[in-house]
Amino acid sequence: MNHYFDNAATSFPKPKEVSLYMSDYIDKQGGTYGRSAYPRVFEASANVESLREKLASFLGTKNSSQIFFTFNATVGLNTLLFGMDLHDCHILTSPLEHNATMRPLSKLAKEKNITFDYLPHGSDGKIDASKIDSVLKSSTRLIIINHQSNINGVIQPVQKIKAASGRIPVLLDLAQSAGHCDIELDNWDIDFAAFTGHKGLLGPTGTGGIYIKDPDKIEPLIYGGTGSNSDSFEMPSFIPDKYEAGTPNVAGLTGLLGALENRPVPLHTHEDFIELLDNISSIPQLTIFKAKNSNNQGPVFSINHCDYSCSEMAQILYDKYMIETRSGLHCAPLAHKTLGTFPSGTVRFALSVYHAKDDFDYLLSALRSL
Amino acid sequence: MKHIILFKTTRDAIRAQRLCKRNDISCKVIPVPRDISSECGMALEIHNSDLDRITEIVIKNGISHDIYNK
Repeated sequence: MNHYFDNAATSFPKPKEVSLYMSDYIDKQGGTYGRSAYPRVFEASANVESLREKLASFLGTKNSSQIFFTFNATVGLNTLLFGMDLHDCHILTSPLEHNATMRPLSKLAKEKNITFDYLPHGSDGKIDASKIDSVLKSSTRLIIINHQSNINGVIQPVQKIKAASGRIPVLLDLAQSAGHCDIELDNWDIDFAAFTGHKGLLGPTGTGGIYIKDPDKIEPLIYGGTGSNSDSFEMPSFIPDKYEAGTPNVAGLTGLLGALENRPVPLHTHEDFIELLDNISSIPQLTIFKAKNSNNQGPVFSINHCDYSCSEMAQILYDKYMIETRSGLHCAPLAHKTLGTFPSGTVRFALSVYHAKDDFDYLLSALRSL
Repeated sequence: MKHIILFKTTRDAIRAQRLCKRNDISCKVIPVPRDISSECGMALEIHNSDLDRITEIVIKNGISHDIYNK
Protein backbone atom coordinates (compact mmCIF):
# COMPACT_ATOMS: atom_id res chain seq x y z
CA MET A 1 0.00 0.00 0.00
CA ASN A 2 1.09 3.57 -0.68
CA HIS A 3 0.11 5.84 2.24
CA TYR A 4 2.25 8.77 1.10
CA PHE A 5 -0.01 11.64 0.06
CA ASP A 6 2.50 14.50 0.29
CA ASN A 7 3.74 14.46 -3.30
CA ALA A 8 3.13 18.21 -3.73
CA ALA A 9 5.92 18.76 -1.18
CA THR A 10 8.21 16.19 -2.78
CA SER A 11 7.39 13.00 -4.62
CA PHE A 12 7.97 9.55 -3.16
CA PRO A 13 8.74 6.94 -4.26
CA LYS A 14 10.92 7.70 -7.25
CA PRO A 15 11.60 5.41 -10.22
CA LYS A 16 14.43 3.06 -9.17
CA GLU A 17 16.59 4.47 -11.95
CA VAL A 18 16.88 7.78 -10.07
CA SER A 19 19.08 6.29 -7.37
CA LEU A 20 20.77 3.95 -9.86
CA TYR A 21 21.82 6.83 -12.13
CA MET A 22 22.91 8.90 -9.12
CA SER A 23 24.91 6.16 -7.43
CA ASP A 24 26.54 5.30 -10.74
CA TYR A 25 27.55 8.95 -11.12
CA ILE A 26 28.77 9.29 -7.52
CA ASP A 27 30.50 5.91 -7.18
CA LYS A 28 31.83 5.29 -10.67
CA GLN A 29 31.53 8.09 -13.17
CA GLY A 30 32.19 11.36 -11.36
CA GLY A 31 33.33 14.46 -13.19
CA THR A 32 32.15 18.06 -13.30
CA TYR A 33 30.19 19.89 -16.00
CA GLY A 34 32.50 21.35 -18.66
CA ARG A 35 35.75 22.99 -17.58
CA SER A 36 37.94 20.04 -18.76
CA ALA A 37 38.00 17.60 -21.66
CA TYR A 38 38.82 14.14 -20.31
CA PRO A 39 36.15 11.44 -20.84
CA ARG A 40 34.79 11.52 -17.28
CA VAL A 41 33.92 15.19 -17.64
CA PHE A 42 32.61 14.73 -21.16
CA GLU A 43 30.23 11.95 -20.06
CA ALA A 44 28.96 13.89 -17.03
CA SER A 45 28.41 16.98 -19.18
CA ALA A 46 26.77 14.97 -21.96
CA ASN A 47 24.24 13.59 -19.45
CA VAL A 48 23.36 17.13 -18.34
CA GLU A 49 22.85 18.10 -21.99
CA SER A 50 20.73 14.99 -22.62
CA LEU A 51 18.55 16.10 -19.72
CA ARG A 52 18.17 19.56 -21.23
CA GLU A 53 16.91 17.99 -24.47
CA LYS A 54 14.58 15.65 -22.61
CA LEU A 55 13.13 18.48 -20.54
CA ALA A 56 12.49 20.55 -23.65
CA SER A 57 10.40 17.74 -25.02
CA PHE A 58 8.55 17.38 -21.70
CA LEU A 59 7.79 21.10 -21.55
CA GLY A 60 6.65 21.34 -25.15
CA THR A 61 9.42 23.48 -26.61
CA LYS A 62 11.84 22.94 -29.46
CA ASN A 63 14.19 25.45 -27.87
CA SER A 64 16.22 23.26 -25.51
CA SER A 65 18.97 25.92 -25.57
CA GLN A 66 16.62 28.22 -23.66
CA ILE A 67 16.25 25.89 -20.66
CA PHE A 68 18.60 26.68 -17.77
CA PHE A 69 19.20 24.69 -14.62
CA THR A 70 18.58 26.05 -11.14
CA PHE A 71 18.32 24.24 -7.81
CA ASN A 72 14.49 24.38 -7.67
CA ALA A 73 11.51 26.39 -8.91
CA THR A 74 11.95 29.01 -6.17
CA VAL A 75 15.47 29.88 -7.33
CA GLY A 76 14.11 29.90 -10.87
CA LEU A 77 11.29 32.31 -10.03
CA ASN A 78 13.70 34.58 -8.16
CA THR A 79 16.03 34.55 -11.19
CA LEU A 80 13.18 35.56 -13.48
CA LEU A 81 11.50 38.15 -11.27
CA PHE A 82 14.68 39.91 -10.13
CA GLY A 83 16.33 39.60 -13.55
CA MET A 84 13.59 41.38 -15.51
CA ASP A 85 14.38 44.90 -14.32
CA LEU A 86 10.79 45.35 -13.17
CA HIS A 87 10.11 48.80 -11.67
CA ASP A 88 7.35 51.41 -11.64
CA CYS A 89 4.85 49.04 -13.23
CA HIS A 90 1.85 46.79 -12.64
CA ILE A 91 1.78 42.99 -12.47
CA LEU A 92 -1.14 40.55 -12.53
CA THR A 93 -1.00 37.18 -10.80
CA SER A 94 -3.31 34.22 -10.41
CA PRO A 95 -5.25 34.15 -7.12
CA LEU A 96 -3.62 30.83 -6.17
CA GLU A 97 0.05 31.88 -6.10
CA HIS A 98 2.68 30.32 -3.86
CA ASN A 99 5.04 32.41 -1.74
CA ALA A 100 7.84 31.52 -4.18
CA THR A 101 6.19 34.21 -6.29
CA MET A 102 4.51 36.40 -3.67
CA ARG A 103 7.61 37.03 -1.53
CA PRO A 104 9.77 38.24 -4.45
CA LEU A 105 6.80 40.34 -5.60
CA SER A 106 6.41 41.80 -2.13
CA LYS A 107 10.08 42.83 -2.16
CA LEU A 108 9.68 44.37 -5.62
CA ALA A 109 6.61 46.25 -4.40
CA LYS A 110 8.58 47.76 -1.51
CA GLU A 111 11.75 48.58 -3.39
CA LYS A 112 10.82 49.06 -7.04
CA ASN A 113 7.41 50.71 -6.95
CA ILE A 114 5.59 47.65 -8.29
CA THR A 115 1.86 47.21 -7.78
CA PHE A 116 0.02 43.97 -8.34
CA ASP A 117 -3.55 42.69 -8.66
CA TYR A 118 -5.14 39.30 -9.05
CA LEU A 119 -6.68 37.96 -12.23
CA PRO A 120 -10.50 37.61 -12.24
CA HIS A 121 -11.51 34.16 -11.06
CA GLY A 122 -14.23 31.83 -9.87
CA SER A 123 -14.70 30.56 -6.30
CA ASP A 124 -12.19 27.72 -6.85
CA GLY A 125 -9.55 30.19 -8.05
CA LYS A 126 -9.79 29.24 -11.72
CA ILE A 127 -9.01 32.32 -13.80
CA ASP A 128 -11.80 33.70 -15.98
CA ALA A 129 -9.92 34.59 -19.18
CA SER A 130 -12.95 36.40 -20.61
CA LYS A 131 -12.66 39.10 -17.91
CA ILE A 132 -8.93 39.79 -18.14
CA ASP A 133 -9.51 42.96 -20.16
CA SER A 134 -11.08 44.58 -17.10
CA VAL A 135 -7.89 44.36 -15.01
CA LEU A 136 -5.26 45.16 -17.63
CA LYS A 137 -3.61 48.56 -17.28
CA SER A 138 -1.36 50.47 -19.63
CA SER A 139 1.41 49.86 -17.05
CA THR A 140 0.86 46.05 -16.83
CA ARG A 141 4.19 44.46 -17.72
CA LEU A 142 3.81 40.86 -16.61
CA ILE A 143 1.23 38.15 -15.90
CA ILE A 144 2.20 35.36 -13.50
CA ILE A 145 0.26 32.10 -13.43
CA ASN A 146 0.66 29.21 -11.03
CA HIS A 147 -0.23 26.53 -13.58
CA GLN A 148 -1.55 24.06 -11.00
CA SER A 149 -2.53 25.04 -7.47
CA ASN A 150 -0.70 23.32 -4.63
CA ILE A 151 -3.87 23.60 -2.49
CA ASN A 152 -6.86 22.48 -4.53
CA GLY A 153 -5.21 21.25 -7.73
CA VAL A 154 -6.93 23.72 -10.06
CA ILE A 155 -5.22 23.75 -13.47
CA GLN A 156 -5.36 27.20 -15.03
CA PRO A 157 -6.47 27.69 -18.67
CA VAL A 158 -3.09 29.02 -19.75
CA GLN A 159 -3.74 29.12 -23.46
CA LYS A 160 -6.89 31.21 -23.03
CA ILE A 161 -5.19 33.54 -20.56
CA LYS A 162 -2.28 34.11 -22.94
CA ALA A 163 -4.66 34.75 -25.83
CA ALA A 164 -6.57 37.30 -23.74
CA SER A 165 -3.43 39.06 -22.54
CA GLY A 166 -2.24 40.40 -25.86
CA ARG A 167 1.47 41.10 -25.92
CA ILE A 168 1.97 41.15 -22.15
CA PRO A 169 4.58 38.53 -21.24
CA VAL A 170 3.38 35.49 -19.27
CA LEU A 171 5.43 33.71 -16.61
CA LEU A 172 4.29 30.17 -15.78
CA ASP A 173 5.06 28.53 -12.45
CA LEU A 174 5.20 24.83 -13.35
CA ALA A 175 6.28 23.62 -9.89
CA GLN A 176 3.17 21.50 -9.37
CA SER A 177 2.11 20.79 -12.94
CA ALA A 178 5.29 19.50 -14.59
CA GLY A 179 4.96 15.75 -14.86
CA HIS A 180 1.21 15.83 -14.22
CA CYS A 181 -0.25 18.06 -16.97
CA ASP A 182 0.38 18.55 -20.66
CA ILE A 183 2.65 21.55 -21.08
CA GLU A 184 3.10 23.27 -24.45
CA LEU A 185 5.38 26.26 -23.97
CA ASP A 186 5.80 26.86 -27.71
CA ASN A 187 2.16 26.43 -28.72
CA TRP A 188 0.99 28.59 -25.82
CA ASP A 189 3.64 31.21 -26.68
CA ILE A 190 4.89 31.37 -23.09
CA ASP A 191 7.62 33.90 -22.33
CA PHE A 192 9.01 32.56 -19.05
CA ALA A 193 8.59 29.39 -16.98
CA ALA A 194 10.04 27.85 -13.84
CA PHE A 195 9.93 24.17 -12.87
CA THR A 196 11.26 21.83 -10.23
CA GLY A 197 12.61 18.31 -10.67
CA HIS A 198 11.59 16.67 -7.41
CA LYS A 199 7.78 16.75 -7.61
CA GLY A 200 5.81 15.47 -10.60
CA LEU A 201 8.95 14.89 -12.65
CA LEU A 202 9.96 12.34 -9.95
CA GLY A 203 13.60 13.41 -9.77
CA PRO A 204 15.75 14.23 -6.73
CA THR A 205 15.59 17.43 -4.67
CA GLY A 206 17.98 20.21 -5.64
CA THR A 207 17.04 20.11 -9.33
CA GLY A 208 14.91 22.46 -11.41
CA GLY A 209 15.18 25.19 -13.94
CA ILE A 210 13.76 27.99 -16.01
CA TYR A 211 12.74 28.59 -19.61
CA ILE A 212 13.30 32.01 -21.17
CA LYS A 213 11.95 32.74 -24.65
CA ASP A 214 14.16 35.79 -25.09
CA PRO A 215 17.30 35.56 -22.90
CA ASP A 216 18.24 39.18 -23.68
CA LYS A 217 15.43 40.20 -21.33
CA ILE A 218 16.75 38.58 -18.13
CA GLU A 219 19.90 39.43 -16.19
CA PRO A 220 21.52 36.59 -14.22
CA LEU A 221 20.85 36.25 -10.51
CA ILE A 222 24.05 34.35 -9.68
CA TYR A 223 27.50 35.45 -10.84
CA GLY A 224 30.64 33.29 -10.93
CA GLY A 225 32.73 30.81 -12.86
CA THR A 226 31.31 29.12 -15.92
CA GLY A 227 34.40 27.58 -17.52
CA SER A 228 34.01 30.09 -20.34
CA ASN A 229 35.40 33.64 -20.87
CA SER A 230 37.70 32.80 -17.98
CA ASP A 231 39.98 35.78 -18.60
CA SER A 232 37.15 38.19 -17.81
CA PHE A 233 35.49 39.44 -14.61
CA GLU A 234 32.24 39.82 -16.59
CA MET A 235 29.59 37.12 -16.87
CA PRO A 236 29.27 35.65 -20.38
CA SER A 237 26.37 37.10 -22.32
CA PHE A 238 25.76 33.80 -24.14
CA ILE A 239 23.57 30.93 -22.99
CA PRO A 240 23.40 28.66 -21.06
CA ASP A 241 26.52 30.00 -19.28
CA LYS A 242 24.85 33.36 -18.55
CA TYR A 243 22.49 31.66 -16.08
CA GLU A 244 24.59 28.71 -14.88
CA ALA A 245 27.48 30.07 -12.81
CA GLY A 246 29.09 27.63 -10.40
CA THR A 247 29.19 23.84 -10.49
CA PRO A 248 25.69 22.50 -11.12
CA ASN A 249 24.10 19.67 -9.15
CA VAL A 250 25.43 17.05 -11.57
CA ALA A 251 24.45 14.13 -9.33
CA GLY A 252 20.88 15.46 -9.01
CA LEU A 253 20.55 16.31 -12.69
CA THR A 254 21.77 12.82 -13.58
CA GLY A 255 19.09 11.41 -11.27
CA LEU A 256 16.46 13.58 -12.94
CA LEU A 257 17.59 12.20 -16.31
CA GLY A 258 17.03 8.71 -14.83
CA ALA A 259 13.49 9.73 -13.84
CA LEU A 260 12.60 11.19 -17.23
CA GLU A 261 14.02 8.24 -19.17
CA ASN A 262 12.02 5.80 -17.05
CA ARG A 263 8.58 7.33 -16.51
CA PRO A 264 6.31 4.85 -14.72
CA VAL A 265 2.87 3.97 -16.05
CA PRO A 266 0.26 5.51 -13.69
CA LEU A 267 -1.41 2.95 -11.43
CA HIS A 268 -4.72 4.82 -11.48
CA THR A 269 -6.79 6.75 -14.01
CA HIS A 270 -8.13 10.30 -13.82
CA GLU A 271 -11.59 8.78 -13.51
CA ASP A 272 -10.47 6.77 -10.43
CA PHE A 273 -9.26 10.02 -8.88
CA ILE A 274 -12.44 11.94 -9.67
CA GLU A 275 -14.48 9.09 -8.17
CA LEU A 276 -12.40 9.41 -4.99
CA LEU A 277 -13.10 13.16 -4.87
CA ASP A 278 -16.82 12.58 -5.36
CA ASN A 279 -16.86 10.03 -2.56
CA ILE A 280 -14.98 12.33 -0.19
CA SER A 281 -17.35 15.17 -1.08
CA SER A 282 -20.25 13.08 0.20
CA ILE A 283 -18.79 12.72 3.73
CA PRO A 284 -20.88 15.16 5.81
CA GLN A 285 -18.16 16.11 8.32
CA LEU A 286 -15.71 17.15 5.60
CA THR A 287 -15.39 20.18 3.35
CA ILE A 288 -13.38 19.49 0.23
CA PHE A 289 -11.41 22.05 -1.78
CA LYS A 290 -11.02 21.01 -5.41
CA ALA A 291 -11.64 22.27 -8.93
CA LYS A 292 -15.29 22.93 -9.81
CA ASN A 293 -14.78 21.27 -13.17
CA SER A 294 -13.05 17.88 -13.11
CA ASN A 295 -11.39 18.68 -16.45
CA ASN A 296 -9.34 21.33 -14.60
CA GLN A 297 -8.46 19.07 -11.68
CA GLY A 298 -4.81 18.21 -11.05
CA PRO A 299 -3.83 15.47 -8.58
CA VAL A 300 -4.03 17.66 -5.45
CA PHE A 301 -6.95 18.50 -3.14
CA SER A 302 -7.53 19.69 0.40
CA ILE A 303 -10.09 19.02 3.09
CA ASN A 304 -11.23 20.38 6.44
CA HIS A 305 -13.19 18.66 9.20
CA CYS A 306 -16.04 20.27 11.10
CA ASP A 307 -14.62 19.25 14.52
CA TYR A 308 -10.85 18.89 14.10
CA SER A 309 -8.26 21.48 13.13
CA CYS A 310 -6.17 20.61 10.10
CA SER A 311 -3.15 19.76 12.25
CA GLU A 312 -5.23 17.48 14.49
CA MET A 313 -6.64 15.72 11.45
CA ALA A 314 -3.18 15.22 9.91
CA GLN A 315 -1.93 13.75 13.18
CA ILE A 316 -4.91 11.39 13.51
CA LEU A 317 -4.49 10.24 9.90
CA TYR A 318 -0.87 9.39 10.57
CA ASP A 319 -1.27 7.90 14.05
CA LYS A 320 -4.24 5.69 13.17
CA TYR A 321 -3.69 4.97 9.47
CA MET A 322 -0.04 5.86 8.68
CA ILE A 323 -1.34 8.28 6.05
CA GLU A 324 1.19 11.05 5.39
CA THR A 325 -0.24 14.47 4.51
CA ARG A 326 0.64 18.13 4.99
CA SER A 327 -1.51 20.47 7.06
CA GLY A 328 -1.46 24.25 7.39
CA LEU A 329 -1.03 26.98 4.79
CA HIS A 330 1.34 25.15 2.43
CA CYS A 331 3.42 28.33 1.81
CA ALA A 332 0.45 29.72 -0.13
CA PRO A 333 -1.44 32.21 2.07
CA LEU A 334 -2.85 33.97 -1.01
CA ALA A 335 -4.41 30.72 -2.25
CA HIS A 336 -5.93 30.07 1.19
CA LYS A 337 -7.34 33.62 1.30
CA THR A 338 -8.90 33.05 -2.13
CA LEU A 339 -10.45 29.76 -0.97
CA GLY A 340 -11.61 31.13 2.41
CA THR A 341 -9.30 28.87 4.43
CA PHE A 342 -6.94 31.53 5.78
CA PRO A 343 -5.51 31.48 8.43
CA SER A 344 -6.81 28.10 9.59
CA GLY A 345 -5.43 26.16 6.61
CA THR A 346 -6.35 22.71 5.32
CA VAL A 347 -5.08 19.14 5.16
CA ARG A 348 -3.64 18.55 1.71
CA PHE A 349 -3.52 15.29 -0.24
CA ALA A 350 -1.21 15.12 -3.25
CA LEU A 351 -1.15 12.01 -5.39
CA SER A 352 1.48 10.44 -7.57
CA VAL A 353 1.49 7.93 -10.40
CA TYR A 354 2.33 5.30 -7.77
CA HIS A 355 -1.15 5.40 -6.18
CA ALA A 356 -3.47 2.56 -7.16
CA LYS A 357 -7.22 2.43 -6.73
CA ASP A 358 -6.70 0.31 -3.58
CA ASP A 359 -4.80 3.20 -2.03
CA PHE A 360 -7.72 5.50 -2.78
CA ASP A 361 -10.11 3.02 -1.14
CA TYR A 362 -7.90 2.90 1.95
CA LEU A 363 -7.78 6.72 2.15
CA LEU A 364 -11.55 6.96 1.69
CA SER A 365 -12.20 4.45 4.42
CA ALA A 366 -9.86 6.34 6.80
CA LEU A 367 -11.59 9.65 6.08
CA ARG A 368 -15.03 8.12 6.60
CA SER A 369 -13.96 6.85 10.02
CA LEU A 370 -12.75 10.24 11.32
CA MET B 1 47.10 18.30 -40.89
CA LYS B 2 44.54 18.59 -38.12
CA HIS B 3 42.18 21.36 -37.13
CA ILE B 4 40.79 22.43 -33.80
CA ILE B 5 37.23 23.66 -33.45
CA LEU B 6 36.48 25.94 -30.52
CA PHE B 7 33.00 26.56 -29.14
CA LYS B 8 31.59 29.21 -26.84
CA THR B 9 29.98 26.73 -24.46
CA THR B 10 30.28 23.17 -23.19
CA ARG B 11 26.79 22.58 -24.53
CA ASP B 12 27.87 23.50 -28.05
CA ALA B 13 30.99 21.29 -27.84
CA ILE B 14 28.82 18.33 -26.79
CA ARG B 15 26.25 19.02 -29.50
CA ALA B 16 29.01 19.17 -32.11
CA GLN B 17 30.61 15.92 -30.88
CA ARG B 18 27.24 14.17 -31.08
CA LEU B 19 26.69 15.47 -34.60
CA CYS B 20 30.13 14.16 -35.62
CA LYS B 21 29.30 10.77 -34.13
CA ARG B 22 25.90 10.67 -35.81
CA ASN B 23 27.53 11.45 -39.16
CA ASP B 24 30.42 8.97 -38.72
CA ILE B 25 33.00 11.72 -38.57
CA SER B 26 36.01 11.03 -36.39
CA CYS B 27 36.78 13.67 -33.76
CA LYS B 28 38.63 13.86 -30.46
CA VAL B 29 37.56 15.89 -27.45
CA ILE B 30 40.58 17.84 -26.18
CA PRO B 31 41.18 20.67 -23.68
CA VAL B 32 41.07 24.09 -25.29
CA PRO B 33 44.76 24.84 -26.15
CA ARG B 34 45.99 27.64 -23.92
CA ASP B 35 47.88 29.30 -26.79
CA ILE B 36 44.63 29.72 -28.70
CA SER B 37 42.23 30.76 -25.99
CA SER B 38 41.83 31.46 -22.27
CA GLU B 39 38.84 29.10 -22.16
CA CYS B 40 39.18 26.10 -19.82
CA GLY B 41 36.66 23.85 -21.51
CA MET B 42 36.60 21.34 -24.34
CA ALA B 43 37.37 21.62 -28.03
CA LEU B 44 37.21 19.14 -30.92
CA GLU B 45 40.24 17.99 -32.88
CA ILE B 46 39.41 16.84 -36.40
CA HIS B 47 41.20 15.71 -39.53
CA ASN B 48 41.67 18.18 -42.32
CA SER B 49 39.71 15.97 -44.72
CA ASP B 50 36.59 16.29 -42.53
CA LEU B 51 36.72 20.05 -42.10
CA ASP B 52 34.24 21.01 -44.83
CA ARG B 53 31.68 18.43 -43.75
CA ILE B 54 31.88 19.36 -40.08
CA THR B 55 31.71 23.06 -40.83
CA GLU B 56 28.60 22.52 -42.90
CA ILE B 57 26.96 20.43 -40.17
CA VAL B 58 27.67 22.79 -37.26
CA ILE B 59 26.55 25.84 -39.25
CA LYS B 60 23.36 24.03 -40.25
CA ASN B 61 22.68 23.34 -36.57
CA GLY B 62 23.32 26.91 -35.47
CA ILE B 63 26.45 26.13 -33.44
CA SER B 64 28.76 29.09 -33.10
CA HIS B 65 32.43 28.04 -33.52
CA ASP B 66 35.96 29.05 -34.51
CA ILE B 67 38.45 26.92 -36.47
CA TYR B 68 42.21 26.85 -35.93
CA ASN B 69 45.02 24.97 -37.70
CA LYS B 70 47.05 22.68 -35.49
